[in-house]
Amino acid sequence: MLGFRSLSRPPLANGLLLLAILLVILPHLPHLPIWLALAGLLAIGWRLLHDTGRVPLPGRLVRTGLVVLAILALLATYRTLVGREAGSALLLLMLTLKLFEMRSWRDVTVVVFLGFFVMVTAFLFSQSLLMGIYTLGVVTLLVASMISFQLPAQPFARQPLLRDLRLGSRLLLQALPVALILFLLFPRIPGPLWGLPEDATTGRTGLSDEMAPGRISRLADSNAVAFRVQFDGPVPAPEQRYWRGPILWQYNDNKWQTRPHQIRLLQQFDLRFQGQPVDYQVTLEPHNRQWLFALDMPATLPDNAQVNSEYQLLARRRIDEAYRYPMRSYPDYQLDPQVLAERARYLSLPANTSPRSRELVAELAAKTDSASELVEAVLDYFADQPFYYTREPPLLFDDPVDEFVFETRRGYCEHYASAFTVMMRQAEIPARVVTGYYGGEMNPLADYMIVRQSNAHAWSEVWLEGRGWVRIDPTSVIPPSRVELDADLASRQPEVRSQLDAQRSWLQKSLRQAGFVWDALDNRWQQWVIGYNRSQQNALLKALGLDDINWRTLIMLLFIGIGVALLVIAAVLFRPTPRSAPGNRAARLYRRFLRKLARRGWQKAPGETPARFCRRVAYQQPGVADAVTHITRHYLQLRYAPLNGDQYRRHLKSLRRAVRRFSL
Amino acid sequence: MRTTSLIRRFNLARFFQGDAPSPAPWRLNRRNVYILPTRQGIFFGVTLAVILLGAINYSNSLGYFLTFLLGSIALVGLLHTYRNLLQLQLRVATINPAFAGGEVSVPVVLENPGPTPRYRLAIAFADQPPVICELPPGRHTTVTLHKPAGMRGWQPVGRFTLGSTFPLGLFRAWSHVVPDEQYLVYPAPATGAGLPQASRYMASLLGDQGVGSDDFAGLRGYRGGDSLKHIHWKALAREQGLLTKQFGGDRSERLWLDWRMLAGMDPESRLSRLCRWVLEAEQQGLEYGLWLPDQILEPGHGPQHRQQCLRALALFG
Repeated sequence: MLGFRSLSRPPLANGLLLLAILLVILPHLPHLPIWLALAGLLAIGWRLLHDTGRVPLPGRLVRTGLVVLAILALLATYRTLVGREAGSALLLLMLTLKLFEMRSWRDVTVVVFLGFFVMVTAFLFSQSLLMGIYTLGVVTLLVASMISFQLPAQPFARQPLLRDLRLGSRLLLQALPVALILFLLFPRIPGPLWGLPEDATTGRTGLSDEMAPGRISRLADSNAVAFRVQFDGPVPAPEQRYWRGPILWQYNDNKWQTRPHQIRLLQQFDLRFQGQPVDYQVTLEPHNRQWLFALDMPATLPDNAQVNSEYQLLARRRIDEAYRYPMRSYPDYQLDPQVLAERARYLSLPANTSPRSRELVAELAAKTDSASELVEAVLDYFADQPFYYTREPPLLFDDPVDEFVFETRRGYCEHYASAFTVMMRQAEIPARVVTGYYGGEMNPLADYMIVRQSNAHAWSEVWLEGRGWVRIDPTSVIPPSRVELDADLASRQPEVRSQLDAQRSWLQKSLRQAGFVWDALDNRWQQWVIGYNRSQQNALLKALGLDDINWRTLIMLLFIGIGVALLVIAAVLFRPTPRSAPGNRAARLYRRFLRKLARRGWQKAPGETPARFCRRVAYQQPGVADAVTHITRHYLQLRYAPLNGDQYRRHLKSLRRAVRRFSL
Repeated sequence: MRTTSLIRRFNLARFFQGDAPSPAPWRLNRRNVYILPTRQGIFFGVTLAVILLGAINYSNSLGYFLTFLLGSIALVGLLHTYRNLLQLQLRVATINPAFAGGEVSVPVVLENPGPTPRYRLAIAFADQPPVICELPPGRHTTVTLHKPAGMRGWQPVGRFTLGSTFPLGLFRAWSHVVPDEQYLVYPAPATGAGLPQASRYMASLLGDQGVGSDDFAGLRGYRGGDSLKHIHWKALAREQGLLTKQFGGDRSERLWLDWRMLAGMDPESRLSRLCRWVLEAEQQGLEYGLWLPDQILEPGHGPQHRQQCLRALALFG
């Protein structure tokens, strides 16, 4: 009945929408196949050219062809149409193709709603603070373009685009408090409701459950945060910051692997602690694995966590959202000092593994009396021989250990840990590779430590009679002079950090400082917004004095909250007293004009009409006759003439200017 | 007190048809403005539900937030849609009579006494394309609505609807307006019926030669007081002295449009034929009278006469 169905082409509105769609697509570009990224940008460009009247849209046949082709290409790229990557790509594709058949108001609605969908799929890849702010901007644009399509008929604003943006952002600002109440009080149902696809969350981790030194020639640099730590007491010394992660003990086919986890009880380990404990909370970024990280050596288990036979902490399910857990560790510990169960598994090596290193080990063993001396001897060997630390080592082929130890001698932690562990096993010392993170830097602006993916590290553990599992980090014996410098290394090699700091320019330093500010904000964001879950909701309600409320009360509370918020907004929107009522602006300006005259003794008599008063002044004071007439004419027009919006605005502007300039 | 009892308030008939006709002006208020989601609004709700399910499934906090933000924008948008109509005032200006079978134009004066501009107001009679207009604060405007004129005689203006889906198109607020104004519908002019020949010169015998202003009858010498318009300037230029053009008596052909001439036709057809004759006669500048069983209009011409005749036809019977 009120047919908005036919869309007279409003190019401005289209332009706004296209800009919004472009911004919706942008965050997806890094993980899209290149053809799809290009297709998306191309479609936007094409539509833009069409709207400015230069090219026609593709016909129905071409469009159908494009859809079929694109779906085939998607299937070829992902082999599926569901899951995080393929699903978001499919939605994006639909959005892109819909641009070609956007003819009616209904199509526009579909495009805008698809835009919201594509926006939300971007959150599966990133939920950073930046993304949150970006989202607000994009939502404003999408809402503004919805408004634009509502107002194609001769808008009485001179800059309709600005007006729509203003209206859109006003809507957004008014909606924010309501959204906040919903966010805080909406009952949080723990997901998933159905099975998550394999690629549900970003597995952004520098670690994996296998390690094959020499197969990767370049260590990926990622400054992404792995987890953040808040210490209750003093921060442990840099050399104690070993964050224990997956433990690899099976060496086969030149690579280290773990086996399916064998869950143990904490009591099954012979753990002895000395000295002061370190208490802290870890906020783990989602990595889609079960791994939990803790300082060597954890003494407690968080809720819902288990420990496996290698004393690695595991969550009961994959960490697919930020997870915060309290931990206690003792830097001074003994793990299974007396008896080693399953000794054989920590000694097994495939036959004929690294014969040359076996010779070397035998040679060194002959010179030493005990296992611990042999450990020292092997470490000394790494320290004395020209071994280099580099993040871009040469590839290794047949026997990575021999090739590394005797030929290339260049590598990073994996090479050293792997070679060292193999050599230990060759000397009949039980050994295994521990992966995790090493280091972490304190955010100087807030009281927490950041551990990044670039802190990923691998080291060894050897079992020594009477001492239990002892951590040995063969990489750490490489002297700084043989470390090929890399800015990122700072946190890995604490001793080179001061050198690096000295080399930094003020610009780098301030950038670094700004980075810390941002990270502090992002940490808050992760903790309170992204990590907001049921338990935090309960804590919040508790802080409000509402203990133990059930979901029914919660929903009631939610409705009351929204109701109150909407009432407040409605009260403001519908307030009866007009702030700048019809003609009031004109009246105010006219009163100002009268005051100016009154100061010079020209009083408008109570019964005198503006027109008569004008004639009187003009007659007796010919010098200002023009100005007075001008002002009076505009005022009377504004008050009494039937004006349309544009005329009204023009008169008001003239009146305002004339009154401001008026003087006797 | 403008109270509305609960029963009346929740009467579905009001929802679909509006109130009983009421005198102008109408002020839109909370009692007569309704609001419901549009099809897009429902679609939007479904979209949000799907996004929310996804957010729950993936425990995605930003997903939750976006859902809630969009939902809140829709809710706030609802208030804006509602406000876009509230406090508006309407009245119907004078409606020109229409012919049956044709369209009537109903001028509606819309006034915005509020402090906010009103965007994209759509006004329409049922099943008619809407007229879209906008109103800055404190202004008024007149929009002309059209609808089929209906039957001969007085017709009520009937219900028209003022609606708006501004700003997001997710909700539509509307108010049914039923003014108590009426408009006059003349009979539909019959087609292809020339003026009656038989009666054409019936009255011409009575034609006089008195002084009038229609037909040029000759020249005479200028007398003081003669209109300057009637001075024969060309003669003056030819130095023939001041002459005044003299006009003969008003049109000698007087036409009677007579109901009785149309014996054998049904009354509506007769009226229809008479209506056509009135229009024709007026257009040809004839002097015409109308004879109806209940009324006789003496011959005359001019818009007013025409209107009187048509009105008599419209209200006949």
